[in-house]
Amino acid sequence: MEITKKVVLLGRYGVGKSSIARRYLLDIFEKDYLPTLGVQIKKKIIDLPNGTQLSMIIWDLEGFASVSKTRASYLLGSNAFIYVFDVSRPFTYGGLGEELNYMKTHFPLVEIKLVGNKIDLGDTEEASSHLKATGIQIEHFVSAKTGEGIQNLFQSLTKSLIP
Amino acid sequence: MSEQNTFFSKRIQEIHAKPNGELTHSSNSIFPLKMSDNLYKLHPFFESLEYEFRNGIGIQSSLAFPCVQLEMNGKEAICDITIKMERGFLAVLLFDYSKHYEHLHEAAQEKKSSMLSEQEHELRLKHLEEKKAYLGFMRARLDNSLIVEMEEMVHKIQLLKKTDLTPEQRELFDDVEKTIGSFHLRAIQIREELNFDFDS
Repeated sequence: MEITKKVVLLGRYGVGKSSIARRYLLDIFEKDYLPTLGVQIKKKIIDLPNGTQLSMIIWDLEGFASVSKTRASYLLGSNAFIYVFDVSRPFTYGGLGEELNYMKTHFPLVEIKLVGNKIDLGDTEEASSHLKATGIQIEHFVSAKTGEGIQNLFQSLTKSLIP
Repeated sequence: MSEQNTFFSKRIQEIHAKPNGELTHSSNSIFPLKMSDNLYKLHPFFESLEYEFRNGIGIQSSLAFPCVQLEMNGKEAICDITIKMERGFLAVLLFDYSKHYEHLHEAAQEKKSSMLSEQEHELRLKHLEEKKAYLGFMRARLDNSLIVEMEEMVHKIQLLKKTDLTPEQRELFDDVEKTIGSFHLRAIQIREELNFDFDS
């Protein structure tokens, strides 16, 4: 038996959405990788312990200023959102509270993972304390460059997606 | 006219499929498809929307997906996709805008680079401002809390030394004065070091 789940990568320009996808799907990192235009869709088959297979289809969207400005058709049928920000650029997580509220209000059934990327560029203290002060707890800090935290993120996502 | 038809017909593909994904028609102008293919197996794009397409969920009259990078049966193209829910079948229209989007890719790369440089510049300015404010704060603390206080202590010791003191007391005050003097000098050196720009 195969279960299909649609996972959408969201976040501002240059936060590393495509790099996270490439690290997870191909275990590679390219510093000069081109920015995403529109959407790139990739698939990964995951064997689950109960013998079923999870077909995780990852929609890697181009960067945008806000989730509310993302084309609605791109988000149709989503099972999970991975909202990525860059820990080294406060600009990319400054409005995370509003973004989270928007996602929870308009997509109440969609699993949401908030992910701080680029931890290889510095510590996560500033982002953590800023977000904690606004009541947001970040579960996943990762580095697409080194691969740190990527497997954990997708394992945790898989667990949330299977019934 | 016929040339125009050829130009457009090569860039637009129309596919019809039953809601279960069975293909009933394909103009095959962009991607070579077989009637035995199933729409939902052609590309993860269609697979991820199978439930919605089968059940007509979220599709009013039509749905548009611009700039989707597709690869089907060994052929790659960047397409705008329009999906229409007709009576009993899905009409999928693919518009091949690969060349247009490839050009945009270069422009987007430039835009991204300039945007990131701009942010880097802003952060550097912010860092400099914060550093300047911090150094100013440290200098003021050194001046008011340490250097001035120590100068006052030395002044008081000098006043005390003018009073009647035993030789032991005088010696003790000399030692204290010397120690405070060396702390005072060290504090002044630290204050001078704060004026040095380590980043330059």
